Amino acid sequence: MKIFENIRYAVGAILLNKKRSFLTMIGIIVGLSAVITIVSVGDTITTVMNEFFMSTFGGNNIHVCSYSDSNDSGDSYKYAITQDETSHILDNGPDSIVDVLQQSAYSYKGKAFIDDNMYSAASLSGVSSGYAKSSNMKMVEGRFINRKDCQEKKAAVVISDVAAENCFGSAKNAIGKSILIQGKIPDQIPQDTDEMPQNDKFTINTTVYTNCVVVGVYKYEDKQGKLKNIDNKRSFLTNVYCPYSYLNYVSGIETNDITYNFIQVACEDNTHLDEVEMYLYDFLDSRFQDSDNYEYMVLDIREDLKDISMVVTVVTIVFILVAAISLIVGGIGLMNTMLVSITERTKEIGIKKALGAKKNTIRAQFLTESVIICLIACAVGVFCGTLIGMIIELNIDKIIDLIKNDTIVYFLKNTDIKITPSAGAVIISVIFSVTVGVIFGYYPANKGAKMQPVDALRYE
Amino acid sequence: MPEQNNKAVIDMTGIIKRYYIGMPNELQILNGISLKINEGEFVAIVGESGSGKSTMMNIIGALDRPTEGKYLFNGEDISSLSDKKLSLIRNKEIGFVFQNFNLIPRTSAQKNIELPMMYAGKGRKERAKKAMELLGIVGMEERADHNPNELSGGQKQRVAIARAMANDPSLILADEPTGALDTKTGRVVMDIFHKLHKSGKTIVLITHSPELAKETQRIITISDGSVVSDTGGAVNENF
Repeated sequence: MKIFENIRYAVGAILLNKKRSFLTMIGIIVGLSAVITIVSVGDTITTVMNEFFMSTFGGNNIHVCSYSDSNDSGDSYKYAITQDETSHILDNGPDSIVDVLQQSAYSYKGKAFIDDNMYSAASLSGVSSGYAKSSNMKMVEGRFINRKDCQEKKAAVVISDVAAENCFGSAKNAIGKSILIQGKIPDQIPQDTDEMPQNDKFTINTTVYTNCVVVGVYKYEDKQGKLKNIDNKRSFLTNVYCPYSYLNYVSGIETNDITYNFIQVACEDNTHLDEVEMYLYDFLDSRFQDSDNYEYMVLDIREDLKDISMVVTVVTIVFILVAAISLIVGGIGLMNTMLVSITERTKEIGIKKALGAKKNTIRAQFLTESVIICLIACAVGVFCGTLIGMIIELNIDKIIDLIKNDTIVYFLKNTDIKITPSAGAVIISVIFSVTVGVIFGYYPANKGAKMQPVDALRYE
Repeated sequence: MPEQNNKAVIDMTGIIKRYYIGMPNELQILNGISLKINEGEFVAIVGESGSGKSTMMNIIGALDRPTEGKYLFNGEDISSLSDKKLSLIRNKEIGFVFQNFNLIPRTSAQKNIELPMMYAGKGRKERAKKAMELLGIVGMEERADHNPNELSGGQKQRVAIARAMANDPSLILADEPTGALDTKTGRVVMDIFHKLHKSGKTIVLITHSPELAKETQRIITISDGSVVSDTGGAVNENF
């Protein structure tokens, strides 16, 4: 009741001296716009960096690295982790483990086709069942490669919707049909030297010609808009996925002979990472307890993300402290205005005291006024801060071009970057402005409250 | 003539007021005034300017404390109460009417009247109802929504009287209420005081005009900080 009256009165007093009130607000507006901009940009950087690391390294993946003192070891090509161990992890580990990610030793470039007219350029890769999830793949029809396909080395493939249209007319038509795939190893270099068996007992097939069954069609994400600009869609290269074990088999490699110094364990989500990590430590401890040559590490991305947001938070806080200087200057301006305003209204204070207003009543009235000035300044500041954020957003491409790292630039250009103030930023601003209003309004308000009624009434 | 009882609203004994205490220019304005005003009386306090009647009014109105002496208001000693308690007395027990109206600017007549009730913690609806009732008594219902700058002097003073009545005070203290008005509007204002007096209100009128004073029941004349004459029957002691 009294609060409402105070607000009504305060707004009246502020409107009476619009120009003076506005000039008083400027300092606070500048400070708060800066706070809003800094916090929004900081939030955006944290979010984008999180997304970048999540999509690049997989937020639900746990990495196991092993390193050996290979000089002491007779067979230096052997890495610590064998197929046995990956199967064991998948079979006996916690249920939240979806897959131990695997890739074929080689991939092939060529085409997928039915006959001379129905074909599509394709690159054949062998993967394991967790690949779809960890690369955020969306299925249009059918299913992705599953564990059974991998175990049984099935000739099952998942093709893109582009390839499905080129070869079968539609994604729906493709499911269950057989398709021929022909390709060769590009430049005949292994795609991943770590995973290549460094053993010359294999004779690698550098070309493949194989007949597979389409089990699923995935959505090709045309992030760079390349597909739109191409005339002949048949020559547009998309990935075709088959079980890694199958592709190793047709390449002439025995999958079971491949060893790893690095594996990725894909989890259902990031809520059970600790449990899975505990399991991995226990398992690897028991496996390697007799071996002095092997060391290993179990890592996930959470630590890195924490470090990044720490850095951003520290930078944000430093900038907020700088902006706080502007708020202090603005606050002193506010104090000055309130002192003038109270002197002007001395008579009014006298009348109110004669009518029975207590010290607290007068104090509350002027504190309300200074807080409202700050809240109006806060609203304008949030608006200006949002505007600055929008300006940055509109020119984001120019800013991205300043970054030297190609991977990051590519990611940023394909990410929808929004710089809008978060609820947190707005709450921080409101808290800041109310604090400034109370701190710098208290002294003048108290001065008004302490006036003696007789003196105040006599004031002309 | 309204019925009078002997309950004293104001009972002052030996009131002294000094300014600049302990300094070379120490000044004694009131020289030990003793005064008793009963409930229902209509009293005029008359004096030349500089006689101390304004200081007298400030003390009667609980705006200021006496340096020495005892002031019983409705039987309660208020000569040394805290600021907060004095605020309460002013709010509930005393209604002020000033020479220059002293309405709060940019605030409608109704809201001005509601102010003392708001300080007394009364609810919105109750305030609005009482304010309209009081505006009716002073004949200003139609101007309820007008701000002071849209009212004439006489109208402002009528609103001020309505405001003084807001919390049904024991005492209405009017300081030269017609001083800024012409004869005609001054008459209207005085008629309202007479009306209030007839309804049983205790009114103290402070004025320098002997004509106005004559309209009241009792005239107390102050000169040089002392009561020099008192036409009433209440206690009258000069030092």
